[in-house]
Amino acid sequence: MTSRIGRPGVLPVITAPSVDELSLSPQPLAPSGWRAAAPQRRPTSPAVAPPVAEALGTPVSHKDMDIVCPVLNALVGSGKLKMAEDGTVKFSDLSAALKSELGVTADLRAAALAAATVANPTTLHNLTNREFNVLELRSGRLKHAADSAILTGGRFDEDKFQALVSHAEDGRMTEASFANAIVANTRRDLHLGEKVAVDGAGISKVEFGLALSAFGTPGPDGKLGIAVEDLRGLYQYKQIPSHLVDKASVLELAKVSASIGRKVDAQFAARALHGPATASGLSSAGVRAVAGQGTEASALAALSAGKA
Amino acid sequence: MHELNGFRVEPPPGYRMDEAMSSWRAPLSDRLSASFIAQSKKTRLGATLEELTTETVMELSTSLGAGLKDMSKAEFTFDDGGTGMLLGFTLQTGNGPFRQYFALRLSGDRLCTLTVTASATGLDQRGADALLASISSLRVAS
Repeated sequence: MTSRIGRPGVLPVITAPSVDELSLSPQPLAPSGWRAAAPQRRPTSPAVAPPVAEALGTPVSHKDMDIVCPVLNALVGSGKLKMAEDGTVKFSDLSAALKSELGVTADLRAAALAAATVANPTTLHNLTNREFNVLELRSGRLKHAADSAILTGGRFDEDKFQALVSHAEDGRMTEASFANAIVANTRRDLHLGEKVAVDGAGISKVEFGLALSAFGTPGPDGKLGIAVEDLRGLYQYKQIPSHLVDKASVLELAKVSASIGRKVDAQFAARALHGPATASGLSSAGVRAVAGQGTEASALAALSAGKA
Repeated sequence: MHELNGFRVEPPPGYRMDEAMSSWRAPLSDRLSASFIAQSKKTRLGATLEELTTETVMELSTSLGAGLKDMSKAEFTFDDGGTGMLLGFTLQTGNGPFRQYFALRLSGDRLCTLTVTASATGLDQRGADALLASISSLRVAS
């Protein structure tokens, strides 16, 4: 049991939040009775663990497996991102690597850290300790269907890689190529359930968009794309295509990053923030009420549609 | 006949209440007024309070991202001795920072969530006491 607050019959004196406790504090609140539980790394929800990954054939043990995210795999594999023996990576190290190695902008780094927070079943631990475990991504919420699955099995999968790059245009993966790959991967994973597959497709759009924003360069036809061989270097040889980052225009990178950020925000909003039935929907509704704004009709429509 | 804040409505025959949500606002103070939202909804069978709390944190972290700060979590004892979980955090918005609390109480397969939102700087001791008293008052209907 962690600390408890409440009142056995009468209003408590020492447990009532003071004005300060309900005010903005530069540090996490820790007044009497409102103290957060001691940090501990343990799955808070075993049920979250790997229904999708297992269905895709992921071995149960994560030892000796490659990191399932190709960019993190390459950053760690090339020694550009520090990882503890148990797979722990500090948010500060991740943020520094994203900035120095990939030129990722501040808003996108913030989004990446938010994603890292929920990347393991140990969300509360990640949140309070500002770290996550890159070897346990397969059991986290971000492992999803409709991805390339090239590293899902723990090692580079040539067949899956060929399936991805079969959509390339003139040896380059463009926006259209990635879109076609997502559609194909969604169909591949429909046996997991339509919702699982379609939800996974939503995440894949963001992931491939991020890859394009980080490594994409304009081709002869002007389309943004990544050469198949550069993708192979990333997935198979754990090589960050830094020559692309170096050559890429900072302005172009910032533009694509901002565009991706807006898409991410839009997805979050559509999936959670505009649904009053969800926690963040309630959060949003609370802020709207405080600020004197009414409930949006679209929110009620989304709530109703979501229940149908 | 169902009472609905100044209205009454007769649901279709055979329909059962699925979810209820009500919200209240405090008197205006400095152009803002604290809000109090109560929601009762069905959860999946077998879900534990710990799981639901974690899912709430995950969803908030995912959707609010860097706007979410200073999160704390504690077990909470209500007036009737029942226990729940209380999450507190600061939410940075375009209208300034807001302090929010989520109180969660599970009864069978129904989850009640109380969401309290106040300006991060505009709540006095009396208002804070009243909010805590209201959160503490949550009990399972017999």
